[in-house]
Amino acid sequence: MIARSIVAVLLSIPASMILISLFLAATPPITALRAPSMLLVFPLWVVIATASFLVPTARFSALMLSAISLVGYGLIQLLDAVGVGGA
Amino acid sequence: MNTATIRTFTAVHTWTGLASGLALFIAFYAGSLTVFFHELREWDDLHPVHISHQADDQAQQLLDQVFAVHATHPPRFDLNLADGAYHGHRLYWSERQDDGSSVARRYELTNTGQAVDVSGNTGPLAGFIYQLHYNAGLPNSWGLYALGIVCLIYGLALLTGLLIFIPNFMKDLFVIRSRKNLKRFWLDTHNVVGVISLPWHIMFAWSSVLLAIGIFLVAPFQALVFKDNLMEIAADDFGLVQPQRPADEVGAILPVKELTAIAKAQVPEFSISRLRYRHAGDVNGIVEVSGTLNERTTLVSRAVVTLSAVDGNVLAVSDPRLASAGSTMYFGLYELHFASFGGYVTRWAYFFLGLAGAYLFYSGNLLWIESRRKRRQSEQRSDARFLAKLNSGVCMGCMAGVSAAFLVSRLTAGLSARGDFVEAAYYAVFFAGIAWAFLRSVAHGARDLLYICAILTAAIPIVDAMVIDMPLWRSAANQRWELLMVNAVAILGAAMFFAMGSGVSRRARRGEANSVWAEPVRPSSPPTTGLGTQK
Repeated sequence: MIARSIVAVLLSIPASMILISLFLAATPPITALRAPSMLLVFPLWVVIATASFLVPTARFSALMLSAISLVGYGLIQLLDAVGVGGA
Repeated sequence: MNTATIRTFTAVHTWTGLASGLALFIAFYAGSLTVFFHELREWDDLHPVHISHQADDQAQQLLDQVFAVHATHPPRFDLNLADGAYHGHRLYWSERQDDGSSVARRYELTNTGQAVDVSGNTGPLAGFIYQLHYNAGLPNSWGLYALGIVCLIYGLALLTGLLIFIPNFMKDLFVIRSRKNLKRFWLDTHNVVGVISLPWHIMFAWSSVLLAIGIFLVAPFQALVFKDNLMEIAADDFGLVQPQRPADEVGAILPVKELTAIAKAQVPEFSISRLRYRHAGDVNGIVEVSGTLNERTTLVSRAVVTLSAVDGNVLAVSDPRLASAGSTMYFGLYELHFASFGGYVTRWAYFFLGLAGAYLFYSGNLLWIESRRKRRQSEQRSDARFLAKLNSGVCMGCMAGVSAAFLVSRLTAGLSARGDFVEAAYYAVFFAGIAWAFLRSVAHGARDLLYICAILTAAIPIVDAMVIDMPLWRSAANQRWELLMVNAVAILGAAMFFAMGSGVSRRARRGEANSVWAEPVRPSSPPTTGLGTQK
């Protein structure tokens, strides 16, 4: 439980930030969306951290959360490179 | 949801509750009192003369008289105008000392129109309790951030608590079963309080995280998506103005009347309550004129007009009716957190919800202890005894410490080190409470501490009657409602502490013997087995 909890609490932070960043990068730059999206980091973190406990092992949970962060970050960079959307 | 999942979430709810419960108890207990911040400050300041309502024109008198004595303007100062809560205008600023500490300066206008320095009479109590609310008594330099992290964990505890309650939602909702099974009783009351106040707790967890560590959660977006222009975006969305550096060139400040007239022209329907000056006296000086809308059509009612202090040029207008979605969401959470709406009804609701929240964290720890009770032997697990002592020591030590802070603040009124005495009283009683809880058995420690809470709290109206000659009836006759309210709540609180102390004492003598809450078994007593009660 300790390992799963550490993974859930820590790795959910970058994952939730990346998901919101990806949303902001992929959608047209609507100013009304910017600040509310950033303010949603906390509830999204709670949901992702809680959901990560449904994954049976700490290792698999860490892999999934890291994958979300890395793939999300890659997609943000890709969107930036091709000039699609962007905040 | 299958059993294994519920078991996992129960384990998560347990550790998150244990990790955050004690700090949140202090934050909620202090927070429920902080709802009445203005009343506490009035109680603590104790003006010997009741200040009559002052006209807006008199604010300029206060400024002129104070700055005729002080050669230079402080870098930042606030002029609070008379309103429903405070009848007089007040001028505040904070001065940084060579040793890094700061000293508050406060000036008021008497009924005869004389500006007086009331810095020495400024009560430290309300500020100290507010500080306890946001740092739980931890050092100021990092206490706020620590409590922000605690609030993150609190969010996790809320969601997992809800998830483990959902399968029995309809069956267990608002059900409190027999007091014979104490674990069931604590669980039922924990669930009822938790479910009733869940939306409020969600708001509190969210807004607290934003207020305490929001900058750390938002800053990464600069690197991820906003490409170094996050501050500009935030300024646009939240109607903020970054003050310019002083030009070191003298610029006369416009009169208060002119500044408020310009602000009123921008937002005609608002009542101005504060003018915040930055770099006043410099050509780059600005004034934030803020107040609340007269007709409340939005949750956020605070409007701010930022002006140049020298020529009255309008730099920014933040009107909640025209605000961006982000601003509405952020300041909406802020208003919900600070109960800045709905008047006294909302504030009393927050007061009771705050106490209910404190109970939630206390009862959560009790549940953990009850779950680990060894029903067939008097010797209980050492971890259960440890948590029971820690829970009693911290929670009751905090409540006793707050009551001691009230007493010391009143008894040291007029002393320059009043604030230090108030803090010392709180921490002395708080740590003594923890030490006492660990020195005594669980039952005796909790009982003693609750009785100490009752005595210290009951002493508040007695000290008011003796030191300032304001017994309850005289406060009512003189319409000193803040004195009446604090003292009436203190009497009620003392009665409740006494009743709880009696309950703990009764349980120790007559309750189940095999529990941390039972009277400790003396060496000469025959060993107890089974579930029988002691006679």
